[in-house]
Amino acid sequence: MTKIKISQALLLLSFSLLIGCKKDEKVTVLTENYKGVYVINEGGFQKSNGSIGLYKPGTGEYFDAFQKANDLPLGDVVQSMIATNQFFYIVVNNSNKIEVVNKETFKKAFTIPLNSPRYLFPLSATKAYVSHLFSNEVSIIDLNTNIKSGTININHWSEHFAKLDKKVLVGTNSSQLMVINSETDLLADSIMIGKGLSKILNISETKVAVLSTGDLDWSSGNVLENGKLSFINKDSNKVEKSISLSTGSYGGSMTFNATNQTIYLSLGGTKIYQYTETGGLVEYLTLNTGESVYGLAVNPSNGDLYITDAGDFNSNGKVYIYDVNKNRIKVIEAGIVPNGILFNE
Amino acid sequence: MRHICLISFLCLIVSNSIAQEAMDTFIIDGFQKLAANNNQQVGTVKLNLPLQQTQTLNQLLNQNAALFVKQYSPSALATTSMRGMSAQHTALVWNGINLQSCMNGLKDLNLIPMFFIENATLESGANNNLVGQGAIAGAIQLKNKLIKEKIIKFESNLGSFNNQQQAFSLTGFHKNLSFRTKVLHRNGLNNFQYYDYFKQGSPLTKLENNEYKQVGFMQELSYETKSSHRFYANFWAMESERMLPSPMGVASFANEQQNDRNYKAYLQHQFQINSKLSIHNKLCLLDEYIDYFHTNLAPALSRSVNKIIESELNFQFKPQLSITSSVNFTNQHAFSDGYRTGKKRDLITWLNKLDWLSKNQVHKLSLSLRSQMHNMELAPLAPEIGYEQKINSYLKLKANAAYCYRLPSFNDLFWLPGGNANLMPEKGRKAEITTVFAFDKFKFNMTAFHHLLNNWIIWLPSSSSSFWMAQNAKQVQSNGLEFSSEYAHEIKTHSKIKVISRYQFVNTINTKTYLEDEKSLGKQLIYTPNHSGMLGVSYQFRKLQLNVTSQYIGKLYTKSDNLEYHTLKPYLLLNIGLGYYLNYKKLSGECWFNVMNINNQIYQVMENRPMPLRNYQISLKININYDKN
Repeated sequence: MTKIKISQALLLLSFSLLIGCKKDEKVTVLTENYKGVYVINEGGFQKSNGSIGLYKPGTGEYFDAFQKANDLPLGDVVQSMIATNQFFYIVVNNSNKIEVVNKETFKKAFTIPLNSPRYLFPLSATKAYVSHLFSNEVSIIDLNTNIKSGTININHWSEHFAKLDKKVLVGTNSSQLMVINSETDLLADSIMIGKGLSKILNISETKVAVLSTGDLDWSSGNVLENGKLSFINKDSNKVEKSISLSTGSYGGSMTFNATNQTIYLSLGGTKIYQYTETGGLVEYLTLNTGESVYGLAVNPSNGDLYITDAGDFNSNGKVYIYDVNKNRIKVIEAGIVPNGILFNE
Repeated sequence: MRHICLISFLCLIVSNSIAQEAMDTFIIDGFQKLAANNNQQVGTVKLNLPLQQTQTLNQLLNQNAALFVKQYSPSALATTSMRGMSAQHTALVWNGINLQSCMNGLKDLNLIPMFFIENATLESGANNNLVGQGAIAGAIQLKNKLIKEKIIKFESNLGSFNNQQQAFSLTGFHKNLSFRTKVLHRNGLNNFQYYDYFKQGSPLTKLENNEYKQVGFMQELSYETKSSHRFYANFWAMESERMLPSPMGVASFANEQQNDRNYKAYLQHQFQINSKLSIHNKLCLLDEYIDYFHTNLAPALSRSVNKIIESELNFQFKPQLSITSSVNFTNQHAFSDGYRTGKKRDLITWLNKLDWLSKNQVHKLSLSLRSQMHNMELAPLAPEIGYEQKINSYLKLKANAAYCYRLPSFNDLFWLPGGNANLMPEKGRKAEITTVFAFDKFKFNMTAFHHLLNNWIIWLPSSSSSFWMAQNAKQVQSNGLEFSSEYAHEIKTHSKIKVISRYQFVNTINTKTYLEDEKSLGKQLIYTPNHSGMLGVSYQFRKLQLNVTSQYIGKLYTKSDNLEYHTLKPYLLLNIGLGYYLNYKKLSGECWFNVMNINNQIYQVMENRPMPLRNYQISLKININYDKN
């Protein structure tokens, strides 16, 4: 073995000390700011690759928020996400759970186990309803404890919610909306809408818009019944106005811009329509060939229209952002099967 | 299930009563007469696979071929694809009958217990004309060989996760009549442990809802007349019930279950008319049921019936020149809730083949042309040319080129919604060149191949409505290299060593997609590894044998955009088996102790589908020769 000379050893030692005595660099630990635009990526069915993406309009950055904050994948079929109190409630349909995460840190705070949940609808700071696939019940959640506190039998699988004073309207897998009295938590009534009940949303405290997609012959693809846009107001338990769409489909999406009181809707494909009280239903926007609408949302701060495109449902989808002048201003590379947007800017 | 047991019992009684007299040994092979010249396309590569120590075709391919087998779990649906093409492009052929389902174009490798098979070969590449329209990438050939012997066989396997298999066969003959009866039972819980990374801290978790049960029965009969007629009949029934486990992250509340029932009846007749002319007839009925159950959904029931009749004439003009002509009529009939009504298809196939061998036996050439009518529409013509040249006593050159096609499956055509009756057949071309080097105990093959397939059928979201639709949407190109080597050496009288290695490089990319800017353009196909290989070493000393096999599968893309975070890691699996051979008078046998995944590799074949860690198996095989002579 070669011997190390004393002079060489001293030189090495001096060098090490020199490095060791170098002034400490200021270490700053960056904490992630979970503000921005959330993209709800459903993921492929039975692929467990659903995610919540966070897009930051300022920097253009996009990342998987849940994975980053918790170092865990989220689950299978991330159906919806909603903000209430100091939490986000992420409904993971085919993982049978709702992940409750802190709004500031996105850290997991609770997990609510539920059978095939679809949407969570907060009624107050302490109470929410949850709809279910594969169950005829709507669950009641105590938001203080994040525990299921009861159930309401509505005789159908359930989807979206809307509220007209004390009445909660629930979309179902049939042609009718079910009406729950939110004070008694009992089924109160039902409202016949039409085939292909798809989306319902409050366009004011006293009015609800309902999108139904109609009926198709599965063997030929022929439209048997056109879709329609229906309206229900607070005082009547029936459809007060209905506008027939020009075609039918198997799915649709709808959003509302409160600033200009405009409903945007689509039956999939490339076409997006707008509806206003004064202008009626008109074609609003056509996407490029090969693109298609899977979800719609309006940014309440500036009126930008966000359109999610699930692409081939197997690789990453996209989100197209259009300004109020219908100019495409940005395309976000999202996760797999993006179905919705939540703004938290 | 009960009627299979009853039939087995009756056949055993019949078999025993006629198995009294000894005769010379002969082999009834589905292709015996024609095998030498016509079953193997000139210029293609054929790998014989050893059947020992594997229970299913899935395990056989995993342990002996450099093939990627796509499987959801060790006992669930398993399919394979050669040369980067899809599972529908690899034909599974049993005694010359293509077993691919007319409904989805697939055949589940886990439904084929190797106890029922005597010979398995892997034929890569251009051999589709002899096999049928589904063999675009190659074929797995399975054959039964009924040997004239009097023997009773018993096999028992016990493994981890309560996996077990018991099998029994009785073979005998009386004058010119031979018979064999086989019965098998397999079951297992398959509740292995895995690291669940969907839970905090990735705890070890038991896989639920993964049990299976399988029973099978086969009865073979063969008869040879003095006037050179040979008859062979085979009835094979398999019934299995499998629970389908959920992937990680998915709530396992659905209790998904799939029941498969397959019945095959096969009759073969061979007749050597004279020294130049022979005829070979086949009649086959395939009856398959697939029933799917889910807690919250209505059962999905389906059934397909294939009736096949084929006649083949072989004319040996000269010792160096032969012509084969065959006509095949296949009636396919499928019933499924997805079609609402039953669907039918008639296929008439005419195949002509010419084989030529030079007088000095240096050059070999074969030309073939397959033409097919389906429901009275002409399918694309499929010509094929193969050439072999013996360069010297060590070196041989093989080349092959073909046009190929695949008809859409019934699901592609008729499924509601989304089936597309206007689909065109997938059409393509392929070529390969192989160098075969054989020197003493060492053999080495190297193949370069090219495949191009147009009108690739995929299911895509429809632009006009929200359901998915089958479309002729892609062009796929696959280029690659295959290497295989074998070395066998007898060190001393009682000591032997054998080393086998196989490697495959495949570059399979989308060259045209339904959208010009589609993200998958120019990208590797999902679940198609660029690199795969295996290495097997077997050492035998007197009655003891040690087998070591390893399998390597390279990185797998799970999404067509090929993003790095959409990949599954490469994995290397190591299996070790120690066996002992028994021989005592008319009794022979072997017992084995096998350790699978001895390196405890954590791996996934499909995204979020766990696979077992280290596991064990013991097996015992006993053969009793009851021939008085």
